[in-house]
Amino acid sequence: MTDAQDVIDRNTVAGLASTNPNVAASQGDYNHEDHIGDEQAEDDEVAAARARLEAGGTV
Amino acid sequence: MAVLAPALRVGRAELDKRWPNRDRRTDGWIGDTSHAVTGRPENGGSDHNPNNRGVVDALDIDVDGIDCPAVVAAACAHPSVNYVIWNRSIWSRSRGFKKAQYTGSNPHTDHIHISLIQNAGAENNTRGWGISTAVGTVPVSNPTTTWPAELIAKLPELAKSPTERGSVRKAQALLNAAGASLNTDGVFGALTETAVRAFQQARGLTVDGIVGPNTWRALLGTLATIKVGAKGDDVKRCQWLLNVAGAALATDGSFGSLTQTAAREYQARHGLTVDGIVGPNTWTALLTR
Repeated sequence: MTDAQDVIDRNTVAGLASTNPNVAASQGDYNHEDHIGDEQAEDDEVAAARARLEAGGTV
Repeated sequence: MAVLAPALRVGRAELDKRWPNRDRRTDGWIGDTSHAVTGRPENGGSDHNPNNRGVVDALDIDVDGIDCPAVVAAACAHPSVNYVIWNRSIWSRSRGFKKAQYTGSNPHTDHIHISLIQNAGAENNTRGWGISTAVGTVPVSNPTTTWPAELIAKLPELAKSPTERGSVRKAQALLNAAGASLNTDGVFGALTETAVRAFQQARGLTVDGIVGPNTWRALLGTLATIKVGAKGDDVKRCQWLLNVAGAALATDGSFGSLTQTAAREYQARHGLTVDGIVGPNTWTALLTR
């Protein structure tokens, strides 16, 4: 688990070797929206969760 | 200072409330040095970098132990969210949150990435996400400076010839960090008792030779998050505890590359995030495992 804290000194950021392995693994993909491909059919489970939310409940 | 956006803190709190035992090992919000060089998000840099308000508008969530489709749906419905990526797909505000293929090299199969719209209004929107019942505004979690009472309560009371050899070794290590010269052998003998009494005397504690909650608290000092470049008693305590766990560090109170390597190795062995930074989770492991 990350030694999580919600505030990090700005200088600390430059010294972090890898705060998050996912983030580190994402090198080269910083501009995520440059990587939008073809439209896909929505997952049934996502659609069902959206419907529950729109009905006023939780997902 | 960099801070996680309040809107994302609320979302994460709802996740924690609904799935309290979820895996958080690949959670994250602020990027590493490779992200930092990309610049501020306003200038095309990573959303994991702080923007010009010092706020990070992106959150990664470990996929294990949660209902991923539900989280994706909740994020897509949140007025502050700009896009969501999960499992080789992206849902972007720019496309009406219609599912599309994500063609980046990282498939996002082990985490969900959520980015907010880059403005203060979106960042500070603390409405609920619909993941669990409302949690309200979630204050930032600042670096801790005092040891949690729950942790202190977990540490056993130690007296002469107890059976808790592991805890005795840690107490001996902390006594050494405070100036004693004990073998960290886990045997609470006369020398250890003398060192405990001397420590208690020096700190104005009841001198009984027993390591109870007050003595543990005094031995532990402040709970600081330390990393390369740190110096002082916190580092010395950390080095002694790492040595008890198998390292062979000079206990000089200077957090250099060798201490960082030892911390990373310890974190790897104990299933912690391997970042070489010793914060509350690593300290807790050093004391309780």
